[in-house]
Amino acid sequence: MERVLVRLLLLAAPFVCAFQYWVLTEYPEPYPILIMPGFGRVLNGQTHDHPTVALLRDGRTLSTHAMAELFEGVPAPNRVRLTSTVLHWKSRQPVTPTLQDWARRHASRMNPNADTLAVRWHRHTISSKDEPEWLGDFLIPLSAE
Amino acid sequence: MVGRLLNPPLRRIDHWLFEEYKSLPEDLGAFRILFAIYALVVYWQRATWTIDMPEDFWGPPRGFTYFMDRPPSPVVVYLLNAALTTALVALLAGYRTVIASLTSFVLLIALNSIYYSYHKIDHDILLVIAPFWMALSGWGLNYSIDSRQGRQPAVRGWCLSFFALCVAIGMFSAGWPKLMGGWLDWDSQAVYGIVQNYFYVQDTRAIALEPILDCQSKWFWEPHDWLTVGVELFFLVAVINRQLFRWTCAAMTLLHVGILLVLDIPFGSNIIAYAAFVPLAASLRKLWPLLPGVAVLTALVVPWQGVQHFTSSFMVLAGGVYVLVWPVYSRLFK
Repeated sequence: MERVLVRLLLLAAPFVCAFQYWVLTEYPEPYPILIMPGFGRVLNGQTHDHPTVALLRDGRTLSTHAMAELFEGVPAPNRVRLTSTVLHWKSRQPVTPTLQDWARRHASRMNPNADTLAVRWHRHTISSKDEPEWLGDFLIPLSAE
Repeated sequence: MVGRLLNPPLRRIDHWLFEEYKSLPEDLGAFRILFAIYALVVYWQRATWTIDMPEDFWGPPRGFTYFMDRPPSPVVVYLLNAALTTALVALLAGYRTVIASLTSFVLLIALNSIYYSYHKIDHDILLVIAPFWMALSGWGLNYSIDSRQGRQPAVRGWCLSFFALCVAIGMFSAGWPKLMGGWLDWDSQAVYGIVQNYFYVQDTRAIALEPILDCQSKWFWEPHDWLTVGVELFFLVAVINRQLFRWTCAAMTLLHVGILLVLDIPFGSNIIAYAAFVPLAASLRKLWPLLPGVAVLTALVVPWQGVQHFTSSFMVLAGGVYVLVWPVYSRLFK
């Protein structure tokens, strides 16, 4: 009896996999990412069809809905600050005070001549078949004020 | 006639299902102890950080919490944790092993569901499903209170076969999107991209990250893409043969060591899953006496907040050392 049940279980395995693939993998859970145009697709090997590239990715910390609420009515420069803070929330790493600070620290290695970091707020879906939805652009001056 | 034609393949499937992954009770027992110790440390106070999160962050994926409009109260999270600790201690001691295994599985799933409802999803499912598949495997036969009290469940090979199949499917499902997403494309180097992302974006400063960051040769990076995709996909082929499967696990373990050193991501839970397929008892018997020393040293050196990360990293490095050293050692000192 046990052997028969085990064989049936094995028979069911492909169907379980199919269920997992169609129901879970295709679940279009939106998660927000910030992307910077023109950095080459090397940064994002998994979604290589995109002309632009994920620079900051925040799917792990905040729902799009919650992010939209945070953003509503907040002036653009502060929006960036909020994003940066939230980005580091879960990981409990020292919070980067502002995205600008973060950008300044790393811009020199990316492009020593850059004076502005263009950041795009972008709603991305797990399924790379969907076109990304642009939510907004931010220009962050890199020079110290 | 049809029956005669079908018989050999069916017999092969039966052999794979019931015999191929049959293990010695002492190896299963050693794996149970290793699993329980690891889970007790790494899943200690699981998901309790979520208690401080704003309710707005609650956004459960499909799972136990999918239909919950709001997070559970802190009391529930603490009670689930207390129950999990109790179940894992029972598992460690081998007391009512079947019940303890299934309870651990359900509680791990429940706590992970809460954890992942805040959008941070870890890849520890192989460890979480281990007690489910191992519950009836006979992993409570040795080194257990059950055996002392005369409870002697049978060793069932099919449990480990199914667990191996799950590991293989899990790995395949990691490799497939990479294959489809262009990881094998020579015009882009995905691993290099991840390395850059971890350095520039996530501020990771792993021991081997900075030294290799400036290497831009695609002849260095592209093989990493191919190797990653290749090993992950190969699991589904290797699962047919236990020996081949173990070699694949060994290759993946070395890959995990690389990932730890470069990206500081410790896939300790995967190493635990691979350990189910290894004759552990002989090697662990030699290492058990060192365990209290390691525990005391860890407690003294590693700050409390870092113990879980340390344990996970330690497990990856120990797995790497095991893969590289044990085959030679066991042959020399047979």
